[in-house]
Amino acid sequence: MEHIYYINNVSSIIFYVIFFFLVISLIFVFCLVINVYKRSRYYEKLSAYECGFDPFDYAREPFSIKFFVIAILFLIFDIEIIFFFPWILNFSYLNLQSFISMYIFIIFLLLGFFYEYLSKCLNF
Amino acid sequence: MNGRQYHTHSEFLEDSIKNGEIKFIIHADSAFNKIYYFGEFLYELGYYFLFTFLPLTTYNIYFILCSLISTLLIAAFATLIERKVMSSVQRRRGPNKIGLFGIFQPIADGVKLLLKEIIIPSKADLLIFIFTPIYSFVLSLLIWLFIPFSLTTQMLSTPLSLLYVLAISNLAVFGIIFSGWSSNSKYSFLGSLRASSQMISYEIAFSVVWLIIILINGNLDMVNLIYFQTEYVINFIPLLPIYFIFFIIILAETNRAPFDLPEAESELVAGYNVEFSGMGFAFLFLAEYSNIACMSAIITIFFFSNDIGINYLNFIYFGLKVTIHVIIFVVIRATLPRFRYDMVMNIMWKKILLFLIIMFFFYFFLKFILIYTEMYLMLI
Repeated sequence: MEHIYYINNVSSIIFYVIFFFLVISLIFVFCLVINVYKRSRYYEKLSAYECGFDPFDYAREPFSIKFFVIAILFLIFDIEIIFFFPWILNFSYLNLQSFISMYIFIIFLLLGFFYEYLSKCLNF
Repeated sequence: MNGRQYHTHSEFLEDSIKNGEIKFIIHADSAFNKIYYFGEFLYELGYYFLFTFLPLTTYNIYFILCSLISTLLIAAFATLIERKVMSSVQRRRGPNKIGLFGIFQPIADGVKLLLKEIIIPSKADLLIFIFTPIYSFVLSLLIWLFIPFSLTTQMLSTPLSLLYVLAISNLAVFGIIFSGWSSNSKYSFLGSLRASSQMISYEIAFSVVWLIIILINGNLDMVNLIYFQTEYVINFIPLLPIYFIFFIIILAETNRAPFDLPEAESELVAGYNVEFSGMGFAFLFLAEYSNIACMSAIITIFFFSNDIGINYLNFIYFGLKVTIHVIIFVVIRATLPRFRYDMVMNIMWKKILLFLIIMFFFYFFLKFILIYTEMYLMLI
């Protein structure tokens, strides 16, 4: 089927990005400039919101390792999915060897996934 | 001057350069001519800037403005749909004072937020704090460029649009991380951690569903999806379970009920958005609603798209289907209670991911059989 291609290229997305960024930054900077003319900064406004109490503790505390584990797992599975893309797009031109090699790859990843599952990494 | 009548600015320039005067001195015999030549100078200067700072042709300005204005309108009226439909479910009227049936409510909200003070908390990371709303909103604007509204309408047409949309939706997590980290409040930080880990977990399932769609599509072009759904049958019928799973994944992606623990409005104040006020909050809010509308558009293109011949009717039909999906989002929010956070992750990693792997192999083997027994020839 025919694709209708306009004159723009996908590389012109950088111009779209820059233009949107500038326009929205201008609106935001306008609102920040309004702040200067209000001149009302006091302690209650500037402190962090804790339902009316004074902030108990320093904010940059360490956090639970579970979030980090999820991020690492996401990274691995995302890269796995990236590896799937060329295989799936060339589905009609594949032979037996490609299928077998991809299945071995999938088996390795599934083994890793089941190891995590059974070692309670995914329990919250 | 030199007793010569100049009819064009370039003639004047030539003469001045020949005589060694390169400065722009407008010697004209009357005030009207002075203004005219000055205006001509500005006109040429404007064209100079237009063609160096904007790409290729003036088509792109049209698309930029389209994307900007339509995204703003979609997000604004999605907020109105939400308030009206949720109020109907709760047997009350929503906002109906501002315009006829409350049509101008989003504009009133926007103007109010524009004029409110942006409170920057002390010790907040100023650069990231200011960058976050701009970043989120720009991403939600960019994603609309690749979505086709009909077979021939796509603001940035490319044979790789599926890949671009997936990539841009993956980047939305950073907005949440930035907003939580930059506000110097441990509650917003923890809320953003939970929201971002929920989002990235569901990104995997999201990508697996895209793999299934790409398997059926054959290439990465969204327009091809619309084409073969018009020719043969809409994707809803062969891919019925995928539709429901994809809907659940989208609810979790946009941090939307029943997966909206990070921004539970009746319990926490606003989760990771708590320190944003005024226009910063407006941008984050608009980005969220335009993401909802974008995901609704994606799900209609994947599962329900159909191209009638005429473009204007196509837009109305597509808009209707997207609106129906947005209303389903809102009705689900009004109906279902919230999941606990460990349940959310449990569903994803232990149930949805395994189910999707199995479904992926199921459709993979169907396609395998179709191609290797050459039954695809029956379709042609």
